[in-house]
Amino acid sequence: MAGEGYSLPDDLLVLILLLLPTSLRRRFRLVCKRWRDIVNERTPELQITTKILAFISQHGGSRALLFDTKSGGRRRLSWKYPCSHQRSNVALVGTSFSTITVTNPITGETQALPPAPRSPEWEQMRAPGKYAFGYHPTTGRYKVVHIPCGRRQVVNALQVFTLGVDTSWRAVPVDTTPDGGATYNRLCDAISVDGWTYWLDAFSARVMALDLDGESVSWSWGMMRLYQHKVDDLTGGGGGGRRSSAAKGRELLMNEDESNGVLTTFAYVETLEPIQASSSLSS
Amino acid sequence: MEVDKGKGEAEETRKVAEADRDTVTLKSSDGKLFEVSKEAAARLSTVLAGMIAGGSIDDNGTDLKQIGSEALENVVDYCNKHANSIPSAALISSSISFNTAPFKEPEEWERKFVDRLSHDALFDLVEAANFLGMERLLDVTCHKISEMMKGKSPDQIREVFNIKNDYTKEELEEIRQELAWAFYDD
Repeated sequence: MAGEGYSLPDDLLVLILLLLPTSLRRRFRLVCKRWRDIVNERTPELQITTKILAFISQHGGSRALLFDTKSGGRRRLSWKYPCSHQRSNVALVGTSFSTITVTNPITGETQALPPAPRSPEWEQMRAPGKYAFGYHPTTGRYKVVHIPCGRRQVVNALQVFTLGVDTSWRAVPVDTTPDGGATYNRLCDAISVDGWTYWLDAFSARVMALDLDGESVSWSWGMMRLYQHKVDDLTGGGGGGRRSSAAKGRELLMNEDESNGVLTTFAYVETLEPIQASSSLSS
Repeated sequence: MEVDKGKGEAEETRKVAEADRDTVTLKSSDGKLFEVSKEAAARLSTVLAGMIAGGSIDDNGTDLKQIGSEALENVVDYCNKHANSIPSAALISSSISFNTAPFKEPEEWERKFVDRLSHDALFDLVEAANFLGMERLLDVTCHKISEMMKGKSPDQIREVFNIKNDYTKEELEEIRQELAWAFYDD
């Protein structure tokens, strides 16, 4: 076999490709026509699209909405959820002093996590950092990611907690030299899509990305615009000077009778894979 | 004389083992013989389990014409290591109700087992595991290959897999257009 390349049978190639994150598998269609055909025909997520999942918290019946971004923000699905809990905001990861809870926004079910990582520096800065909640589609793991902000918004390491596996937070080093390390743009939320958690660098046009499976941090230049188009508007975040378009994104989501509510939005990736996120989150 | 006695005992032990048939002998495509615990072979390979149950095991070496000696050696090595390994303590002990992984992560020794393999050996082993119906070994080897693929560009993948790029420029561009969500630039 050596020297002739590895002509794995189709069935084996499918098994291997299915272990990759969706985005990577789709990218590997660039390898050759055989791989393209196998990915297209044998791995079932061609229809992958990003949608907006919005929660509107109101007295007397909160609502969740799913939007199709492709058709210009048309409402695809809307449902009221019977949450008895009173909350002003929907956050999958909530913090209060040193306690951290993960909340299912639909049922209100909460899960307490071990104490949050602490550092005298963050306390001095009164900057507990941001939390993001991520799901990795091929491993089925849920992870909470803490992005601490130190002096000058420098991020030296992330803390990651895998639900159902970890008993304490793990540090994931962020080594993204040569540009003086990573920073975090506090004005813009971190967001998790399709097995990655993304955030914006504070001082350069970089999008930072944590692979939720391998837990390594990489980054990309020149993707800022794409990030803002695809993510920023959806989350209502505002990476410097983007406030107006973020507000426009909000208007798109809310009509009059909803405008009293508190809105939280998430980018939501829909695939045809049997993702268990929805079923286990609502179980 | 003491030495001879010891040798005699060893031979006796071997004869007893053969009589009890604790092991099966497998023959690679290039004619090399390997012995593996019958219990482990039956537990880890659906194909070998079927052959053992169906009595089609040859005491002089069961022919496995699709599998080369290097791959078969790794298969046998894996079976023996698996028989000796202590299952890791349940990692998942918390009461958290979110689901856990459908794919069972390779254990530490399984990782080490595949990490030391060359590309050739790894790809041969994945095919052998597939041929023998060894689900767990297939999981572990596929997992290792998928790990190797992460962080690689399509160009690097072609190099590793020795694949020829059969696209035209236009065809590549068309696929790139669809990849807006993949945060890579190449």
